[in-house]
Amino acid sequence: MTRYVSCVVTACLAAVAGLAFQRVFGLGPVVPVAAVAAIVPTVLSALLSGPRKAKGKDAASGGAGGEGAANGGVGGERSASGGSRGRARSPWPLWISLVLTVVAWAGTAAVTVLRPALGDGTLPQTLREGVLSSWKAILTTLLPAPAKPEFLMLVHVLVWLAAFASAETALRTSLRAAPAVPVLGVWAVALLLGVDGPGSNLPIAAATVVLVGVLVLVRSDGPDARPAWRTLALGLPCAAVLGGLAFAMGPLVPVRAEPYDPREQVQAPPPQQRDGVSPLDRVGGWLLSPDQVMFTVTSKRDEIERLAVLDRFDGVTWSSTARFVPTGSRVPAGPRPGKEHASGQRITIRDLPGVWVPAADRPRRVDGMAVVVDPASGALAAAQPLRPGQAYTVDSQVPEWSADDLAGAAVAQDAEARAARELPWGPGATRPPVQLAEFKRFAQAATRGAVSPIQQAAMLAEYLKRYARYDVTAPPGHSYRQLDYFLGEGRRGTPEHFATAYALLARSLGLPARITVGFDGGARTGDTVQVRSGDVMVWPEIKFQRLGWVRFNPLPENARRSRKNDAVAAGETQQKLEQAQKNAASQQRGPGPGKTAQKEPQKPAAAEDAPTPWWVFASIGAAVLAAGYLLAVLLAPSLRRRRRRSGPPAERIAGAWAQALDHLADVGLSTARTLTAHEVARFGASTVGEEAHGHLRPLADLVNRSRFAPSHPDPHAAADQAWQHTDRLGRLVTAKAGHLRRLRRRLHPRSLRARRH
Amino acid sequence: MTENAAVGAGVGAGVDAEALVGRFAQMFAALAANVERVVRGKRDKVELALICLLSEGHLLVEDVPGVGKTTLARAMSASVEAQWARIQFTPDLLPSDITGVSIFNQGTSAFEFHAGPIFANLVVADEINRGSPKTQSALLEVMEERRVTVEGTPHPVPRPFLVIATQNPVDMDGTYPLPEAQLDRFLMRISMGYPDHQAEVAVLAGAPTGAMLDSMPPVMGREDVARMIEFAQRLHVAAPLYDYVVRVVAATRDHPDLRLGASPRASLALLRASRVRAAAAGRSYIVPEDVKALAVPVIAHRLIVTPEAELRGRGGADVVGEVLASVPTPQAAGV
Repeated sequence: MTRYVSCVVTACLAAVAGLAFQRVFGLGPVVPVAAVAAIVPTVLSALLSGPRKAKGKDAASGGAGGEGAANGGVGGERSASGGSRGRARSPWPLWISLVLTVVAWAGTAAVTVLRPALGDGTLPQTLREGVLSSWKAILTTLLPAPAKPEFLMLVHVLVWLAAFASAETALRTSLRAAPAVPVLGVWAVALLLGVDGPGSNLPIAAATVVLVGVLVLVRSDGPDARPAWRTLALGLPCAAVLGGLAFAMGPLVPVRAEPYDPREQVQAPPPQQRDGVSPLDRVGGWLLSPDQVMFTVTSKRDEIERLAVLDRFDGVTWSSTARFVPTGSRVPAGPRPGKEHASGQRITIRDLPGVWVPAADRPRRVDGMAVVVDPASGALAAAQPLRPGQAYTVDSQVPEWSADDLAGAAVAQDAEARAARELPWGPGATRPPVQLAEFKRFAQAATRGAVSPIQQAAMLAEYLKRYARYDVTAPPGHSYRQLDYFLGEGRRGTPEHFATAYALLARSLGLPARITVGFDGGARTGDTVQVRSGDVMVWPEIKFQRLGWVRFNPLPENARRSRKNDAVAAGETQQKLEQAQKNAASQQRGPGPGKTAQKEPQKPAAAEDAPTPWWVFASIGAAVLAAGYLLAVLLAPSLRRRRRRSGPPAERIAGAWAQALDHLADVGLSTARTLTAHEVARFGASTVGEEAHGHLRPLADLVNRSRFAPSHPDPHAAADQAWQHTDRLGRLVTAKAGHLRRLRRRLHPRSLRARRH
Repeated sequence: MTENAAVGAGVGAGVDAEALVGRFAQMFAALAANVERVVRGKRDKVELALICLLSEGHLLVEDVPGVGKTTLARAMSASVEAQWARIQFTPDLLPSDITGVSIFNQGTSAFEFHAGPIFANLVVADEINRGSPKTQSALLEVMEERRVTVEGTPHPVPRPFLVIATQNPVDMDGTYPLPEAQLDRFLMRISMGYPDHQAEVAVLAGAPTGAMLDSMPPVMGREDVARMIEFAQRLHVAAPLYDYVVRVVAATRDHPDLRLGASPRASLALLRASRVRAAAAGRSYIVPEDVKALAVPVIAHRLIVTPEAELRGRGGADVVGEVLASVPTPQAAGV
């Protein structure tokens, strides 16, 4: 009976462990899969591997016991007990359960998780991908991953395996907590795959703790005993309290701010050319025919819609290095600004070509369309070229930087920032283009007197605003030569020219710069804004520490005014940003370039980004070692005692003797190597008292008989008797030696290994 | 068949030794209690002597006069309804005085063998070290082979056959120390020791020993003793105990304080005596306790201590004790 009750608990454990995948897929898709995968194999195992009733001669003769004993191991133990009681036979061999569970698994998967694939004839392929490749696909997908059949197969397989292994362990062994071990495998995979996922597994972990407690309680008197309902009734509240504690203490457990993420070890797909034509190259054409409706935005608030982020310049063209990964809906967060506001938009595509998906920066969640996302920039792209009528909703968090944020900002120094400072010579060039030196001189002149990066960036934007005219008829292009013309002779251009020129000038000053193509404005009707081709905008961005990429506007003021009268005003956020940039630049306008006014605000940034001191790691390491040691010295004797209590009767008696010697070591027995059993008993009598002798003497007789007699009339009873004497001796020794002394000895490194008495 | 007979017959017939060993222990205890009626306060010595008897070994009692050596031998013989003889060793004692002589019978015109005192179940060789080496050596054959060969004709001695030899370790003038070969033939050497105060008071208050000896009832017959001997030697010995016995004996051979260690005969003797001790304790199997308890009386007298160690006051018993304290018991090896 206890075995079957254990199976119920293990099924619950496996199902609950499967729910830990809710951080990967969300709770909804996981519940039915985990439930089915936990229940079916458990029922199957209970039918095949549970104790079978004996028939006729087998039970009478205890023949199964003899056979089982010959087989040895667990089976032998079960058979021995079965033989002695004459009621049960060995279960079916394990291989039968294995074969049947594989067959059952394939059938169950086909009619549940893989039912869609069953209909379209792709079942074998989906099954193979689900078992072999789904984990890789999940690792390269932003969580929550879409609930595709091939992805959910991973949950199905793992929960099934865990439920099967747990049930078989519960049915075939007498170990108490071991049936819970396979479930840990499910947990391990779920935790690894769900590191980056939303939500928390704390309630599920607490439920697991409770269930493990229940399992141990159910099996406390051994699998062949009747369920200890009384113990269970007393222990259940304790297990519930334990689970509650785990739930309450979980958030207090000190963990790394950034836990290990296996996704960092996975090679992301290489950058792809998502579109045949760069959005930057379309800007000129869109401005010349400004009335083409690109998309509509349903939102109460006006936002700048970002389309594409272009961060690599090869001397001629700008392109994207984004490493796009699939996502269910979530987009990972970027740097946290001091202030931000939420923006919810529903966007309907009209005539927007290409694959770039517009959204307010920075999107956090996209629903309604399958998209891929660049985790670094948050840029979105569609898996297929956009089609008119496609609609999706996007929730964004738009950062709002204040003058104070910007005033103390230092430029970023990370790898992305280093790449964003590069000024390549151009394809096939063998020497640097002559324009680079010109650009540098131009930029230095434009930012003369600036003492901080934000000042340089703001002054450069202001300078360009005044330096050139906005003219949509200017010839497109953004190579060195064309920008040289723009800055030299032409001095008129489109946003393409202003933004790309700004980016190159900023790079020549050492500021990490990139450009972004998007849309600013549109025609509002109620809550709907119609964004047209004339609303296209290109702006440069500079990367600062802690702030991330900050947008700058080098366009002349008349660029907005030139738009149609029904255009919505420029975003409030954009205006605030420009004002903040101006304020930050004016705050820091120091007495001269020789002064180092910028150093002071850099300090907190440096302190924040400084590597963690070595002593923190040393302390953590020492604490982990201490905790591990404590756990080991406290656990080792218990495990040793458990090992000594198991096995054939002769080993159990020898184990009882070894345990008794361990007890006597607490009262001064240094070695018993050359002593006989009765000499040890006499030692115990002299140190602990005659009552101890009353247990040691019969224990010595049992040990002698077990080891030196040709046979024993009832070895099982003798083994039980030996352990009773040992346990009572242990209590007497504790009373004699005191708990403190025993604890001191327990904490000694010697307790890690079995004493050689 | 009596119960006593069953002890011996049972083993031979394959009857469970477990069931019979209890009877053996009872008989042993009765025998010891009977002997102890006259040898008071020496239960341990009595038991050693009985172990010697039931192991078919010989006993050397080394002690001063008047501590009950002869009484022990007489009590044992009276208890088992056995024939006993006493030989007082003197320098002029001849071998034929022990073994017997062939005398020509004129009537039959043939030599007739007249058995000496050695042809008894229990022979007390009193002050054996006062006999000449030639006379002492007359005991060699009979002690080992349990027969006497006179003029080419072997004459077996009756069974059980036990020689209880005594010698005085103090008065050494005019004595001939027993050679190593002869010492090795004694299963045990014990020292009776003086009785404790209570035992000596009881001796004084009790009846005269001689009168008691004459009125002692036998506890068992010679046949019973022979069966007990046979039964004991069939007890089970676990494999680790063979190893333990050999380790203990072998350790004496490498001991720096010894000029001569114990021989394999010592191993055999130790195991043989251990079997009897186990049976006397009601066990059908030997435990290391048996080996340890008998190691000193069985092994110590076979060792020859170096003169340097002797000067330091160390004897064979000390060395055996040291060996027992250094050789791990099978319990330690097995747990």
